[in-house]
This record gives sequence, C-alpha cells and structure tokens, in this order.
Amino acid sequence: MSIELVNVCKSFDSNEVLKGLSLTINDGQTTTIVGASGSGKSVALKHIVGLLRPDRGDVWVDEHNVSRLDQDSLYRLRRNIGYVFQFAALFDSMTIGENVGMGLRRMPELEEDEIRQRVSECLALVELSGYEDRLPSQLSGGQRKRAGLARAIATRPKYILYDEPTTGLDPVTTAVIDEMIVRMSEELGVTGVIISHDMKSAFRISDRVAMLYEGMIRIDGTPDEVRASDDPIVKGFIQGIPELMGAKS
Amino acid sequence: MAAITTHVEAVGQAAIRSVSSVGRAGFLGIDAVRALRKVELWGPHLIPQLARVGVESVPIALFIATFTGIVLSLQASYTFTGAVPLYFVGTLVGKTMILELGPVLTGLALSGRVGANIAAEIGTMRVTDQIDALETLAYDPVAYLVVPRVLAGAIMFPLVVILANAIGILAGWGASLVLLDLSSPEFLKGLKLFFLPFDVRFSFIKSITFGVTVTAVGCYFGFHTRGGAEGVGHATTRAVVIASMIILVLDAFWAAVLLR
Amino acid sequence: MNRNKEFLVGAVIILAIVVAVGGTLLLQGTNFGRATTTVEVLLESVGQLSEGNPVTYRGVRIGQTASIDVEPGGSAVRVTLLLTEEMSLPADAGVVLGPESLFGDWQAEIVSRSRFPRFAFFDVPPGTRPLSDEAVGVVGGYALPEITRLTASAEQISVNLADLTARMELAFNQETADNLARAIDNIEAITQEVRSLVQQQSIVAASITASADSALNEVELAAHAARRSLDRVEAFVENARFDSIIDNVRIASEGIRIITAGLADPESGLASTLERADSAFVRIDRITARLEAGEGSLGRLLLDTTFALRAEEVLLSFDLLLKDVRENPHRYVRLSIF
Repeated sequence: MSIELVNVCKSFDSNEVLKGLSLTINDGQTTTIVGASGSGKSVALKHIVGLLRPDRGDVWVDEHNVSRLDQDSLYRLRRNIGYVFQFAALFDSMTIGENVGMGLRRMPELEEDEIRQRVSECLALVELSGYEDRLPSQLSGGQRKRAGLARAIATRPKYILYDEPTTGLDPVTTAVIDEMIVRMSEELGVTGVIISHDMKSAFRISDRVAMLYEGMIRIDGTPDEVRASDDPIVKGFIQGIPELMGAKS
Repeated sequence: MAAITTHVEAVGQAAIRSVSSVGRAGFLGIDAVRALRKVELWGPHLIPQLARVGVESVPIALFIATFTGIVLSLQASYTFTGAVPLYFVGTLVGKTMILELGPVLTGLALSGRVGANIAAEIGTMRVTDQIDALETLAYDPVAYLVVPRVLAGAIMFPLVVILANAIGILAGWGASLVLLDLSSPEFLKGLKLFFLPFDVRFSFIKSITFGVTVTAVGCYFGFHTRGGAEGVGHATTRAVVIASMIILVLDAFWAAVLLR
Repeated sequence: MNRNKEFLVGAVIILAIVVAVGGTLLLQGTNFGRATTTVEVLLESVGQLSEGNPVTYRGVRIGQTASIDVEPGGSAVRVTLLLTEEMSLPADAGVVLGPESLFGDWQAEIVSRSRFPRFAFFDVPPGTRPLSDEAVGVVGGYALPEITRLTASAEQISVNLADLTARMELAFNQETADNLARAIDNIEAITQEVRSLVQQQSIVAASITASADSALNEVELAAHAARRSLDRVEAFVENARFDSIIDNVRIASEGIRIITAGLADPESGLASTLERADSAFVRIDRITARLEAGEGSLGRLLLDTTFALRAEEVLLSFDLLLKDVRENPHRYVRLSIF
C-alpha cells in the first residue's frame, strides 16, 4: 500500500512539464516534494488524485492505476485521499461547517449527528472550534488554510496531499501549520505528501525530501541525505544560490 | 513567404481551436447526461437553481414583454392604417409575441442575466480550485454544478416565457384600448382569429432549447475558464455572446423545422 | 429561506401552467361550463370555413364551428356547430356558410330555408342520425360562392360582349357582312378559349355570394334578352320587316340597361364589370340608331342568313359557359387575401 508514480510524462500544449517522473511514497511517512516555482510540483500532486491524467506513465495508489480508473472507482479511491489546496479552495457560498462536512455527506453510512460531531472534532484539531457558522470570507488566510486542512482530514483519509501549505503565511502561522502536519502524521497515522519550496519547513517536518527539477526527480532521500548532497543543483536550491544551479544547466 | 506561412498557421490554429472547443462541449454534454443518474448530487440544488434561473428572471422578462407588447400594437396599427382592419392588431400582437418575441427577447435578456451569472460563478470556482476541490471530495462537478443549472433552465425558461407572452399580449391589449381606437371585443377577435394551440407548443419547445442553451453555454465557459479574474470576465462575455448567437440560430432552425 | 424559495418556484410553475392552459383554451374560444347546444350540418363543401369560425343567428354571434370532417365515403362534409346558448332551431333550419368579411374569415349562419329559396341546401337523407348524442339534429347547409369569383367571370363575359358589339359596330359602319361573320367566328373562338382556360384552372374551392349569385342570374337574363333580339333579327330576315326589328332591338337593349342599373346597386365589387357591360349596351343602342337611319351595309348583312345562324351558335356557347359558371363556380375564380 503506497503511492507510486512511474515514468509520468505530462505536457500542456507544447510545454513539457513532467518528463518521466518516478517517485515512490511510502506509507506512514511524510514526503515533501521541493522544487522551483513552475517545476511541476502541483502537476505531480494532481496526478496522484486523478485531477490530471498522464500523457505517458502510470500512477498507482493502493494498487489502483489512477490513470486507468473509471469515474466511479476514482471517486471511491478519492475518499482515501485528502487534498489541501494552496489557497484552501473553500466553497465560498457555504459556511465553514458545511465545507468541512462536504466529504462526509458523500458517506451514506453517516448520520447527520455523526457528521456534525466529526466536523467539530476536525475543527478542534485545526484549532478552529466554534467557527462552524462563519463564511470563508470572514476568515484570515491562515484560518482558511486550516479550514481547508480540516475539510481534507474529515473523511479520515489514508493520504493527505498538501499543496504549498505554508506559502504566503507569516512565520508564526507557518510554524503552527507545520506542527499540525506533524500531528496529522503522528496522531492519525496518515501518509502525507507536501509540495513546498520552503526548505526549512521541509527539513523540519519530512521523513523524506524529493527534489523536482526539469520534470524529473533530482534527488530523493532523508532530510540529512539531501542536505549532504554534492549535486550543485540541489545545493544551489537548498542554499538559495542560483549561480550553482545556472552553472550546471 | 514567412508572412504567408504565419497567416496559414493562424487559420489552422483557429480551426483546431474551434473544433476542439466543440469537442470539449460535446464531452461536457455527454458527462452531463451521464451525471443525470447521480440524483443525490444535483437533486438538493435543483430548487435553489429553479429559483435563481426562473423566479429571479420573471421581473426582467415581464418588463421586456410589457414594452414589446405596447410597441407591437402601436406599430401594427401604424402599419395597417387604412388598408387592413384594425382588429388585426390583436392578431399581430398575439402571433408575434407567442411565436417570436416572447421566447427570443426573453432568451436574449436571460443569456445576459442567467448565462453570465452562471459563467462567472463557475468560472470563479474554477480559478480558485473549488471545482478541483469538489473532485477531490468525490463530488462529480458536472452532476453537482452543471446538471441542476441546465435542468433549471430547461424547466423554468418555458414557464417564464409563457408569463412573458401573456403579459406582452395584455400590454398590447391595454395599449390598443388606451392609445388606439380599438375596443376589447375587436382586439380579442383579432387575437383569436388565427390562434392555434400549436403556437403555444411552438413557443414552449423553443424556450426549452433556449433555456438549455443559455445555462449550458454559461456552464461550459465557466468550466473552461483560465487565468484568474480576467479569465472570469472573459468567460462571462463569451458566454453571453455565444449563447445569444446560438439562440438566434436556433430560432431560425425551429422556424424552418416546425413552421413549414 | 429555503421554504420561501420553494414557495416562489411553485408559484411561478403553477401560474405559468394556469396561464398557458387557460390562455390556450380562452383563445380557442372554449366555453367554461356554460350550457351548449350542438348542431350537425351536412354540406357539399365548406368553402373557406375553418374550425373556430363563428356561428351567427339573425346576425348575432351565438357559437363557433367545433369540427369539420368529411363523411365516410366522401359524399358530404359534416360540420359540428357548438352554440353557447340553449336554443331551438327554426322548423326549416338551414345553414349558410359565407364570408364574414373580405379578409378570409368565414362564418356559419343559421337561417330559415324559406328565406333563401334559391340556395341549393344539402338534402339530408331522411333518418340521418347525428354522430354525437348531444346534437339536437342534422340540418342541410349551403356554402356561398365568393363574390370576386363572379366578378371575374362576369367581367370576362362583358369583355366578350363589348368585343362582340365593337365588331358588330365596325361591320355596320363600313365593312361587309363577311367581315362581321369573321368577327363572330373570332368571338366564338374567344369564348372557346375562355372555356378551356377556365377548365385548366379548375382546382380551387371557393364560391359566390348571394348577391353575386343573383348577379350571375341577371347576366344570364341579359344574354337571353340579347338572344331574343337576334331571334327577331332572324325573323326579320325572313319577313324583311325592318322597322319592327329596329324597334325590337331597341326594346331589348332598353331592358338590358334596366337590368344593369339594378345590378350596379348592391355590390360595389361588380362596378367595373357593370361599367363595361353598360358601355356595351350603349353601343347596341347606337347600332339600333344607325339601323334606323339606314346607314351601312345593312341590306347585305341582313340578307346573309348565315349571320343569324352564327350569332345563334355564339349565343349557344355563351349560354353553355354561363351554365358551367353556375354549376361549377369553383372553377372560375378564387379569392383569398390571406
């Protein structure tokens, strides 16, 4: 049981974004995919949940080939995957409570009481207790991200995919979110996939770090291994020295 | 030489673009038909959409119909002067309102109101990832967003048009009484003279297709919005323009198919 | 909030359905629960009557045409009239279909047959039962021919008459009896042409109004009068009594003029026809005057006995034409502005 991307290629019009990306994400671990903006991190993440289908290659989640699943099976599979969007993507016509309960309402076995119970638990987990009746427009950016996280974990998925969870947040909120991601992994035992270009966060919360460069995985290892890498591209990215990367390419 | 090549390429690209957008629209249509069976997804949203597409459109439709009816009766009497008995004003107002202006003017007005609204709403959801969010929460966005809107259009449009027809005829009648030298029995005589129940059915059929057009085009452009706020604006404009064009083409189509 | 929305949606749906159904029924002229009488009418043809056209009695609108069906076998048309009042029909009831105005809308009028003895009402076979149980009876009907149809044929006839007269005048003035005889041949040919043309056109259904009908009759009478004149010409040829034939011709043409004056009155649609006819008669008059004065090659003409015979032939074919017009008015003209 794991997520596996095998030689995934994807182009948009004439722009080749993924050029044979292969990556295995082990269960129970938190993996961060880092890379420069526009390197295709979000595209890779969207392949895992089936929002995009590869031009070539396969995406395996729990032994299912995501790119070959029919619609109904794909929706069933997605109940095991939570997705935290970069800008939360809360439904702005609904209250926070309704937003968090969206995924739960697709589970016919749940009664309305249980749903309400589960929603307030999830909101408590992201420290937004009592925000059920607020509208997304009444929340700050950090609160919205946490609400998005609550929505993603409400169905108790095995996997949670985070799309730039801390981008654009102040350092304090960033630390709070990071801590929350760690808690998800530790308390709920979920497998996390994070895409980020915030190296500090990545090293702090990840079991593994993979770097995406020019449509392929440049390096994949524990934070220590990545930090110790001699690859000028990796070094340049980690230390924020573009000259190192430019020298290579 | 290079200039010519560029132009040829431009033509080719335009052709590919239009064919592919027709293809995308076709896929959206197929998805929508398939999504019809997911009643649990679109069912709860039908009533609010009926209210939005139908009830909230009634005032503007009636407003347009009122003035159309008045103008029709005045123009008819102006045109008929002397040559044709005045009671034909009733015939002309009734026939024109039911067969043509009721459905088409309502359709055009609502493509601006309803079509633009839908395109902007869904377009915003697209650019803020809300549609992807629906996908990840196992909600089929076509069933959740497109089906209730298009169904609401198909159901409510003809009803709004019927009301517009009635109000247009009443306004024409009132104008004939007040502004023209015409009595109620005369107007009614003209109105009944060539009336066929088929006229109402024709109006009904036409409006259903207009309703589907306006809402489906709005959904299509909303769904394929790209590029933030500007993209939403662009999608909205395109939705209104394309829906209006399709309405006029459909209008001619139905006239050719059903009125011969 | 949601309840409110549901209410509004429901209200719009119900209102629209009520408007659509109610409006359609209203415009179709349906009666809402009022007492009604159904009458069935058998006719040979219905002219331009269509479903929904009004039914009148003594000029008052009392109902509408409910249905029009050809009888099984095609021997007649059965029209069902729906009267909004409960009423009893006159003992000798008949139904006359005719135009309500010149704009193509027709009506069915319930009449006493005795008021219109000249109309050929459909003979309802004794024992004919109404198809519907509610019908109070089956009556015979008659669809009027249309006015313009007659106007056109009468015009054609009067053109022929004028032509004839003009040629006669020419002959009396300066030409020989041979020329006149040839002219008469021409007239004959024209009449034949008119006949064949008319037969080619015999497609359309429509008819002649009452006044038009009688006008046609008058034209026929005029033709008879003219024929009588020619009979007398023939008699004169045998007896060589110039004076009396001149008198007779004058008397005959005077009679024609009186008829024409009567004709001109009721229908303005016939006016142009009558003008032409009138001028034709004036010419006959002039001929008479010249005969009296002893002008032209009268002697030769009158001694040519074939003239009278040919004139007879022309009148005969003219007669046949008139008969055909009466019997098959549908062939002759069609009026339909809309």
